[in-house]
Amino acid sequence: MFQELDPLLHSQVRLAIVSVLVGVKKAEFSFLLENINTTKGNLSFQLSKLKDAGYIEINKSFRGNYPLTTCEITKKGIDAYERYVETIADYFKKSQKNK
Amino acid sequence: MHNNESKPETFDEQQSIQVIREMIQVSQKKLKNDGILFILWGWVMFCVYVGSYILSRAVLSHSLRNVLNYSGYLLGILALAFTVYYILKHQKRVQTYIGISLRYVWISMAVGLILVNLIQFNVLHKIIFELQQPIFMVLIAFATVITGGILRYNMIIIGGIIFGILAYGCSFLSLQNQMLVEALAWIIAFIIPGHILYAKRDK
Repeated sequence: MFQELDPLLHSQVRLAIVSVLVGVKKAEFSFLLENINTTKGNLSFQLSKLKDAGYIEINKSFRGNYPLTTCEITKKGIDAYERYVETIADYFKKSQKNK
Repeated sequence: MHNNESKPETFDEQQSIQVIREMIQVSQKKLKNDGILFILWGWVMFCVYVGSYILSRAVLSHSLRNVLNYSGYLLGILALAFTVYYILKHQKRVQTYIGISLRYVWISMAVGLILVNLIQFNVLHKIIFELQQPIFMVLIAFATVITGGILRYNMIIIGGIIFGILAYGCSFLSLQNQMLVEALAWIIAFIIPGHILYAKRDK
C-alpha cells in the first residue's frame, strides 16, 4: 500500500519551486522564472498556493525603482518536501520488489 | 514545464524524480566560483610581502620608506573596497547557504586575526611579529581549507594545507625570511587556484 503523495507538491511547477528553494536560502522571482521555465502568471499562481499552505514565505520589496519578490521555504515546507521525497523513494523501492 | 490549474495533471513518480534532479542541478550551478577574489587577494598579499621583504633589506630614505609602507596599507584598503563592491555588484538573484557559510568563515578569520594580536599583546605586552605571522598563516590556512571543502575544489584544499605547512616552516625562520615564505604561500594557495578557477569560469 503506497502512502499518498502530498497533492500540493505533486505538481511539476510547485515541486520544482520547492526543490529549488530547499537548496538555497532565498531566491528571487526572476531566478525561479528563468529556471523553472513556466509563465509569469502561472509561477505567481503556484507561489501563492504554496504560500497559502505555509510552505513558503514571499517577501515583496523594491530594488531601486523595481519591485522585488523573494521566496524562502519554511520549516513546514521542508518537512512536506522531505515527506514527499521519502514517499517517492518508498514507491520506487516497492516497485523494484514487485518486479 | 507549463502547468495550469484548470488542466488535469499527468504527473507521475518518474517525472517527480526528474523535476527534483533538474532543480538540484539548478541549485548546484550557483556553486561556481570565478576565482576573482582569490586572484585579487593573492596578488595583493604577494606584493605586500615581497615589498616588505625588499623594504627590510634595502637602504632607503625615511620618507621613501614611509611612502612604501603606506602604499601597502593603501593596497589593502583598495582590495577590501573592491571586495565589498564585487560582492554587492554580483549579488546573485539567489542566496545560497554556501555563500552565507563562506562569508562567516572569512569574517571569523578576520576577527580571529584581530583577537590573536589582542591576546598576544595582553599576554606578552608587545607584538612579536615572528610569532604573529605564522599564527596568522594558520588562521588563513584554516579558512582556505574550509573554503575549498565548501566549494568542493581540491586545489584550494591542497593550497590551504600547503599554506598551513609553510606556516609551521615559518616558525623556524627570521621575520625577513618569513615574508618570502608567506609570499610563496599566497602564490600556491591563492594565485594559482584563483587563475585556474578564472580560466574554468562560466563564460
